[in-house]
Amino acid sequence: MKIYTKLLLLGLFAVSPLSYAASGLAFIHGTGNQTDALSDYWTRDFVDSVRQGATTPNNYVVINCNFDQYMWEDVAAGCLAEQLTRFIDDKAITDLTLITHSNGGNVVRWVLSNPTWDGRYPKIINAISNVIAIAPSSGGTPLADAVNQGNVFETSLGWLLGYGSNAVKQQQVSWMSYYNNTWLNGTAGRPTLGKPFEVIVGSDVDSAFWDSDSYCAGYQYQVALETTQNWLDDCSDGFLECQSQSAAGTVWFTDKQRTAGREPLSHQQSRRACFNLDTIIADHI
Amino acid sequence: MKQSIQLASLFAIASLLTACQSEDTASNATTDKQASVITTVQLLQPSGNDLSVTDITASALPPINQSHDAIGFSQSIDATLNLVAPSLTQQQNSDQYWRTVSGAQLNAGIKLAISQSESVIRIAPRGDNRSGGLIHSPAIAPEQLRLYKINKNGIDRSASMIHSTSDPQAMATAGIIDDSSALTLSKQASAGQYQLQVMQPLAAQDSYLINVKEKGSPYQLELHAPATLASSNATLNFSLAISNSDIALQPTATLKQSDGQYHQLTLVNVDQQWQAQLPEALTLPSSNRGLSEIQLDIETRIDNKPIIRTVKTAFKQYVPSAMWGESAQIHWQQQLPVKAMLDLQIANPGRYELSAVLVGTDASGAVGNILRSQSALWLEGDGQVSLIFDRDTIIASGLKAPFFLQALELKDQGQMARLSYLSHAAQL
Repeated sequence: MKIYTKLLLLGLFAVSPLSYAASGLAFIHGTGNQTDALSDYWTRDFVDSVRQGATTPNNYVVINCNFDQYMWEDVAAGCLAEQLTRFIDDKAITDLTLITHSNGGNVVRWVLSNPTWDGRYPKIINAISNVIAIAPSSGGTPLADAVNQGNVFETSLGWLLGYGSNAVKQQQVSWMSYYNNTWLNGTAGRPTLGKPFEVIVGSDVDSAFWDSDSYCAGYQYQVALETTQNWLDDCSDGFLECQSQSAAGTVWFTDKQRTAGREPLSHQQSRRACFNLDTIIADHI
Repeated sequence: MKQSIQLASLFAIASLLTACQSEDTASNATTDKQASVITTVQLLQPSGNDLSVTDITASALPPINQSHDAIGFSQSIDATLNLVAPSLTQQQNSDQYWRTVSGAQLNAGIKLAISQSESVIRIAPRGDNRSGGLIHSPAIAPEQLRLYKINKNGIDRSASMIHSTSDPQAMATAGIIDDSSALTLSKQASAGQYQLQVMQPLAAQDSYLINVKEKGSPYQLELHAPATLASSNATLNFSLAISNSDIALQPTATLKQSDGQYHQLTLVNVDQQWQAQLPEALTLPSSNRGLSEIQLDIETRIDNKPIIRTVKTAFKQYVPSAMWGESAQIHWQQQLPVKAMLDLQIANPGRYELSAVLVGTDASGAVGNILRSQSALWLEGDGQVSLIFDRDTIIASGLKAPFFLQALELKDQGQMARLSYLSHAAQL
């Protein structure tokens, strides 16, 4: 009798697989304490365009957490776990794709690497099918070292690093080296993440004032980003060196290999609908 | 994603089939019970890059992770993945240096050593709370900066050595968000001594960080230092060298603990290695959150050029709060290992995680990874931790005996510290 029931269930699976495998998409921001990341971090244009590539475009969530703190903090990874768990439960998600930018990749790697830290993590890990990490700060950035050197008690405004926060400390080069060696998986010689972690690398900053491409996502950012290249390798997106971005997971592509007009993606542009980045991701997911 | 749905469907079907198999297996529970055995294996001695604890000490700091949930997790891993012992050291290179100066010094003019024309100088105001309240020094307007070469006749004010400048707003939008101003040197600038002066009046006690960055310099200061330091160690050993030179260096060292406090350290040179000596109070971590840093400064001359460099690296200060026993109990079902139990001796209540990779052998005798199992729980006193090995995953791997326990690791989730690591733990 029991076997008969199971066969019946198998039959139901065979005719209606979609009812048991809902897919979902989550957008996970970088450093910063976000309350409206859709508008303030990503832009609706980008999110709406990317999710059109999903099987169920309306199954998406834009995460808003305090990623100014260390990645493991309850307001950081704990908040991410809370919002992802709610999304997974509400939509019965079994096939979750995460799209991260910058330090968001580190917070996701924290969850994937430390399933025993928090009772919510295993369920999330089991639901994740893929991570697309746009310009992840996997190896840290010398700019974080520059900001942290000396006694810093307060800092001026900045869109990239936040306010001299613990997240900035964490993204110093030697700090990330320690975390990659101890608490985060996915870099060379370390255990794998268990899920695909596909990286998009930004390799250059284009700030020529006569080139209209420099204006995507704001010309003023582009000019300033080129200034800070002095603290970075020649291959960088103005904030992160290419080797930092590609330190964990596998490189899906480096900007110029796929972007429209073979344009580079600065760190500002890689979270916006610049040079077809949005449609490239939409076609992939 | 569409392909994933198909895979998910297949997975769901496979799960049901598995359920069927489980039920069949359950009907043979008596047979299973008879097949269940428990063996005891001795853990191998640490070697190479392994990390071990021989004496435990209680941590006095509040734990970061205070969860009392017992959580286990395992997943299959690539059979051919090379299991590498974690590196015990870190390497950092530097082509720059930092100096902290006062407002009075900047108004009077400070001497800076520059070794190449393609250098950048950044001036960053810093905060100071020594007076009891926070005093934040004002940003410097780039047009107020003066940079002149110092030659044998004194300061040559006939030609500015500034090529371009960036103001704090531009620096902030580019990711350097500490009110910095920056200038690049003119193409005419050559290696030597320079005077940097700020014309805008500054308060005498204002504090500024001067950062001279010499991108692409052939003179990189290279530091090798430990990635972790147990509280039982009163010295931190490191090596220091400068590229393209074998000149003897005379570094000075500063420790920055995770609470942000700076401490000067005494250095001793032993067999071409340096030892930074830590007073007893500094051997203990000041906080479980964050990391400590050691900063080394050197000044020298190479090829008649003044070379100044600062390099720093982070490391984790921790207390060896727990250790595993000398053996593990292995639970077998139908000749497959399904669980490993290890004794833990702890110095303080806390949350500890044990993990390991189960390795098996194929028909040709080659070993391959099967799965990685992790388990964490809160312990009030000495206790046991179990690593679960999923039977179906073992069967699916096709690997058989002899089985091995490798990459055995113990972490203290309260301190956020790795306590022990054993590359080859045991043959089961």
